[in-house]
Amino acid sequence: MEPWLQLAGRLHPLAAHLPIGLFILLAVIELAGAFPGGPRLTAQQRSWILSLGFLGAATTASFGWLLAGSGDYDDTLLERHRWLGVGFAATTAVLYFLRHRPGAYAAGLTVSVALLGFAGHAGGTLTHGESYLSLSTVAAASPAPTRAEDTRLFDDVIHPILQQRCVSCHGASKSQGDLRYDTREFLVQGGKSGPSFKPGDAHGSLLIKRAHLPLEAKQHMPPKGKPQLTEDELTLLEWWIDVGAPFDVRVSAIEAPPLILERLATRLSWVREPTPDRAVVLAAAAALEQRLGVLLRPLTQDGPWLAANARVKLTAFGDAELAALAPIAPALYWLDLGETGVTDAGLGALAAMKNLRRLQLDRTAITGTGLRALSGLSQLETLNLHGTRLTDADLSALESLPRLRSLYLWQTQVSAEAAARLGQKQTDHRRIARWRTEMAALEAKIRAETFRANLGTDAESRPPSPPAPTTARSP
Amino acid sequence: MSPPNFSFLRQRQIAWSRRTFLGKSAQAIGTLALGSLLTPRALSAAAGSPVNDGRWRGILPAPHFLPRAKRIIQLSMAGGPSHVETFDPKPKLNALHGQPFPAAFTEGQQLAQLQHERGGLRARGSPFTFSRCGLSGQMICDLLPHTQTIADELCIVRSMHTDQINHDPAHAFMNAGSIIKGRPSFGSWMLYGLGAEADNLPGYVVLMSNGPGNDQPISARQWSAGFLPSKFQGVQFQSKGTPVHYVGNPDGICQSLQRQLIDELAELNGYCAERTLDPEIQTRVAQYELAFKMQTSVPELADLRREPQSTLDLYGIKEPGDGSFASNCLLARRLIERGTRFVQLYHRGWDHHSEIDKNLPLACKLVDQASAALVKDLKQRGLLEDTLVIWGGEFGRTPMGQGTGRDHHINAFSVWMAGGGIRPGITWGSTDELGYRYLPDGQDMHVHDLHATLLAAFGIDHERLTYRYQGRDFRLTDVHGRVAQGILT
Repeated sequence: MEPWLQLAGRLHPLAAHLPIGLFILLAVIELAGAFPGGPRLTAQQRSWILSLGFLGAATTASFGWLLAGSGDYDDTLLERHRWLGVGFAATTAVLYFLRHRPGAYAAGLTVSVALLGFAGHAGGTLTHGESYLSLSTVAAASPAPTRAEDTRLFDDVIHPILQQRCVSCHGASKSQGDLRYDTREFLVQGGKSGPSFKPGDAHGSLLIKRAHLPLEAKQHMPPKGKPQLTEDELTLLEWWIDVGAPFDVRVSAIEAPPLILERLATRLSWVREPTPDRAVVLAAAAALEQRLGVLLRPLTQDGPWLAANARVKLTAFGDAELAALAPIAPALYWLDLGETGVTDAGLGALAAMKNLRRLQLDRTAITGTGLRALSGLSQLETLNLHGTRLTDADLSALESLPRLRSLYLWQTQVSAEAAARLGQKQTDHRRIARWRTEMAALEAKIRAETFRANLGTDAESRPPSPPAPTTARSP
Repeated sequence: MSPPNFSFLRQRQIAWSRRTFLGKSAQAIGTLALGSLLTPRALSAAAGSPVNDGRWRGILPAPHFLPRAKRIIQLSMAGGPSHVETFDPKPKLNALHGQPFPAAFTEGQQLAQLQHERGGLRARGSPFTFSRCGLSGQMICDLLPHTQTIADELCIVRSMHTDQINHDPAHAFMNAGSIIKGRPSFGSWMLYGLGAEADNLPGYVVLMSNGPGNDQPISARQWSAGFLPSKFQGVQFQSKGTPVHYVGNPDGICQSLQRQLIDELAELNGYCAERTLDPEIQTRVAQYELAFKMQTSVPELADLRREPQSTLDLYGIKEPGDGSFASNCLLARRLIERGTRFVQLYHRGWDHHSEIDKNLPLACKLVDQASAALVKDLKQRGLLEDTLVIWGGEFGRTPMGQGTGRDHHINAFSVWMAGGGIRPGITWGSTDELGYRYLPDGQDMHVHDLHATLLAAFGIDHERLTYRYQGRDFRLTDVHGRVAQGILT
């Protein structure tokens, strides 16, 4: 096809909006005019709107005809849209000639607008996919499985991601590149460029490769301008392929690393923990400071997040005082319980501190038993346990902390091997390897963009010249 | 909302205005309103810290952004260590050793004592070798073998530069961002902005130790609070013997009698404060109270014998409390552990105008082990997570020789930082081939930039921590300062 014809075809979705707007406007005005005091169009105005509307509809229809030739659309749906559109364009012409006969005109306008609605919807379905309108409402309505043993890995996690990000172009109604992700069979089959994924090898899989290309790249998927896969979604897809792309397993049947589990949990539990209210938290904190003598300082100017220092009270701060922090528990970011009198029995109170980032428990009487209370602290990054009676076996309680990055174990019974084993479990080597690759690519870019002049070996003995004078910044 | 500024001048204005007079006459409500306006504590309550326990919680109701560091230890290497012989190796300078220094570098530049050097300026190479250290491969001089072992913890800044070429003003500039007397020091700004966590020890403590030679004196104005209320000034502890003199009660006075005395004094001073509105009275009340608490906290703090021998060995302390840099480093850690916000260690002995080849190794030996030990000790205790350590002088030394030594140099010097929100294992900024001048590559670090960056590590926007004085809002960085985001985590 000629390039300009192709361009005209691609302008179809743009052109379509003019007649839609004009005819809806016309219908609204005419309807309002049927009531006393409503607006009245003069014959001349009506003729103008109808002529413009017809021109717009005819243009749109012909552009659409050109676009349909480019293929990649579901045939049934395409034909439906084609003839609804042409039908609509035809009624607009008829309407022009009926404009002086009120009864026939009203009936004609009704038919015309109805056709317009159906044609528009069919067009939308072609572009955005079958479930476009209903998707979000359906997702919100169906109660999500909340326990790992109930969650089907493909049906509840992976397929919804593909459905949301890919199927509008790779589905039943539109299958670009002969690729469809709407059913398992099509997914396995792949498209024009071959299979989408190699079970067990995410980074050798086309689907993942395409998603990692720079946004500007032609082959990047989803294309620039379309909603992109989030980092979390991509990580889940990669993990699913890496574990062999299974279709009929439950999440609980596979050993998932903590970070994956955490992502699954966020994705599947639709109800999010609300952020505590700053004013309420600060008021409660002030009362607690007064009562307990601990320091509770806000960490940011807008959020409710607090840094708590109980170390200032030393052993005067015990389990009862820790329990008293309950009203501000979800607002605590940093908590220093070092050298205090807290014991295993009191650590249960930590379970409610879901947003904790830093926790100091150094030189307290706690043991591995108490550490189990920490298992739900999904945000915890730093944990200081130095000078406690922990042993190798106690570290297993920390394996479920997805974000734990620094752990202080000086003066405990923990061996270097046990700490290293925990480190292995806590590190997502695959992601780090990927970032290293990306970094190497960036460094190569820098090398490629760096200019070097070679003045030969004798230049080495020449006196150095000072760098270009600096622009004065300070006196 | 801008942070409420507790300017005492403003309070005085309010106190003597016609409106206040009418309010006062009207008694009841008027008196209440005035009362709340008068005490800074009530003002700070309005700023979001309503707890009334006498502890200063800082003028900022909350940091401007999420802080990374809570405490800072500054190891001030007074005299100005030579950067080309510590953290900034210059092979080209070594190659030029003894030859005339290229005039293109020095023409029209400020020099301290070297401008009259006979026979013109000559390059002076370093006789000392450097090694790549740690996984980060940072270059550190072999005179600092212990510092080499913590290379992966350090952010070495090679592009420092300052405005002041003589010791006293350069210290003032490094501390207060200005050489004008009456400007608050960095530590005072920190206390004013954030308060301290300890209420039985000063929030800003200064310790001093000496090198082997005759060293430049350090003036006490370096840790002055300037125009800020004087309760924010640094408190110098003696590094030998008891840190604070006369901390014990005189014979015949017991602790409860002392308590009564302080309470009575506080009440009397309270009456005085109501009449004269002098903020220094508030300071005095606070200081009496602090001094009382220090009667028990200081002896405990200074009892270095409680530290195990392994710790003393780590720092290289021969005799605990002997006034050495090593002892001071250990004391600094103990202060930090007990909630002091800012500890500044001055160590003199880096002013190597002559015989640098002999004296520099001695100076390095005195600080190397303890500096590294401090970082390691903080690290194993988990304190390095939120404690920032900074090591460096007030300026650098010339790459040109001055007889057998080097002169003061402002265009380039090196510092290192570790912990508390500083990116470890990187070298930031660079100097030209001869170590004469920082390169303007966006990583150059003026003293104002350093201040802005350090405040940022504490969650403070250096442009928004201000104090109104003589009709103007002052800040530590005056009208300068860029945050070097690249060295923050």
